[in-house]
Amino acid sequence: MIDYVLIAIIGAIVSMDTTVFGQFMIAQPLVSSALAGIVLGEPQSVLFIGAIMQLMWLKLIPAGGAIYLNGNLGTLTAVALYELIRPQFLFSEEALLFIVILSGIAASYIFGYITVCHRRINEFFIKLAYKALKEKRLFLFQTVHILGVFTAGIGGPVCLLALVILGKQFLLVIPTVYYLKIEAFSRYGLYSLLGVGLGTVFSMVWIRKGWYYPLVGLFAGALALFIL
Amino acid sequence: MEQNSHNIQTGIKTFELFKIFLRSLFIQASFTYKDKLSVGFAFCLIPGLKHISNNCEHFWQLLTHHSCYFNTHPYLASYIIGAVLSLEKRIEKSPAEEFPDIETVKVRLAGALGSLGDRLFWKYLKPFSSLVGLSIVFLFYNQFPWNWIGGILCFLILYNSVHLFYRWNGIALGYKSGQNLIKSRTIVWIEKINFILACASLTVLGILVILEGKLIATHSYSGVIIFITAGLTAFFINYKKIFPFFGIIAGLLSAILLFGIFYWLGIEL
Repeated sequence: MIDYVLIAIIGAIVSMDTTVFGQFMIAQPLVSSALAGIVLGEPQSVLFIGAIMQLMWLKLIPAGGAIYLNGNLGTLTAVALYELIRPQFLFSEEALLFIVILSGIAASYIFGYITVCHRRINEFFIKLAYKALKEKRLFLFQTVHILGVFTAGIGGPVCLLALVILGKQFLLVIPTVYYLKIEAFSRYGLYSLLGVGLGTVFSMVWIRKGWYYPLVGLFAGALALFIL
Repeated sequence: MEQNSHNIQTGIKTFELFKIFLRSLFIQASFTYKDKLSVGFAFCLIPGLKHISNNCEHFWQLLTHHSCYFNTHPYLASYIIGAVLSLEKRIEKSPAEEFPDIETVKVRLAGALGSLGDRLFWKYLKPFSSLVGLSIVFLFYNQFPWNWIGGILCFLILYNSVHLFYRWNGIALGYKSGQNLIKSRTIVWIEKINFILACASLTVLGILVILEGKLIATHSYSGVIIFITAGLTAFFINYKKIFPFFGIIAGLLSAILLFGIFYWLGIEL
């Protein structure tokens, strides 16, 4: 029970930092997975989830009217699933990591639509704010605006918990024959997800003028490894 | 409100600008697809408008005026907040003079800063600071948990130093320069900063490829081939801007395909 409460608290922080308050990047997978890992007791493995998800969702831009796929809450779903399923999981750690990361990716899409719902709820608040403006009630005007932070802080963790509970039930009832099938591939699946993440970021920051910079980086990386 | 009338001559104090800065952190709280940052923008202006307005009626008039549709980058909105307060103050100080229409200034600045902000913060700064953080994590992989602490701190400090600088500088500079802020160095330099960040990100990406490749190579060399193939597939799919989810699917499919080929050929995995 305490685990679920802790997941909800971190979910609230992540949900608020993602789009409504500050955007200090605490919600980013790299940070939130570490936070969740420390709180839930297994930091080292879940940070691998954070690294993969961070790379994979870097290209998400929470701009304007775009449907923002919420990779931050998706990462938290993956971390929570990993921590909750691990004691009962019969197969390798790589298989579990691979499965929860795929679940996290799917959850990111679901959370994207939850962000849409949150913004639709805000439309109601905006109407209230305009009403307060007409009636010249400054306190109400400001309160209604700030309420948006609280709806995100409540709605995000509620949906997160629902997805985590459903996900846990679902992953534990999958027949073992399916896990046996992916067992051999899971480690390579993780490698490929790391590659997908790097490829995605590469496509995002790529500029023709700077074509030689990755080569400089490759050389610098090799030099760093040689020195260390 | 009446007591504010004498303050028009003196200008908004730094403490009040700081209050506006704190409010600007909440600018997206009531974001909607229809009105975007409308109410959030007005919410940030409140301390300044209280200072500028002559009386209660004037305050509500200004607040209503600034609560209509508004959209820009949330961090760089602070420049527009400062500029709007500066213009409103000048209009209040010398009503006989002619000033540019505030709404026009707002719309023009919002468009330009929205595009600049998206590119600087989302397209270049976030990937760069994340990549630096991840490089530290993988470079000192065996020094857990210090590698993670260092990586995360580096990521947060790199990103937030620029983020908070632009938020605060926007309000202070916008208030000082009014509609001329678009010529300020912090804005003009954004495209140069973007280019530097893109080049630096590409370099760090190269480093990260080596570090991750080395980590995978300690387990298996065929894993490195799968890692590179999946990465290149995702790169081409995303570069061509095909459906975003397809990059992940295509990367995984290429990995499965390669895995199958290795398995079929009997190559040691």
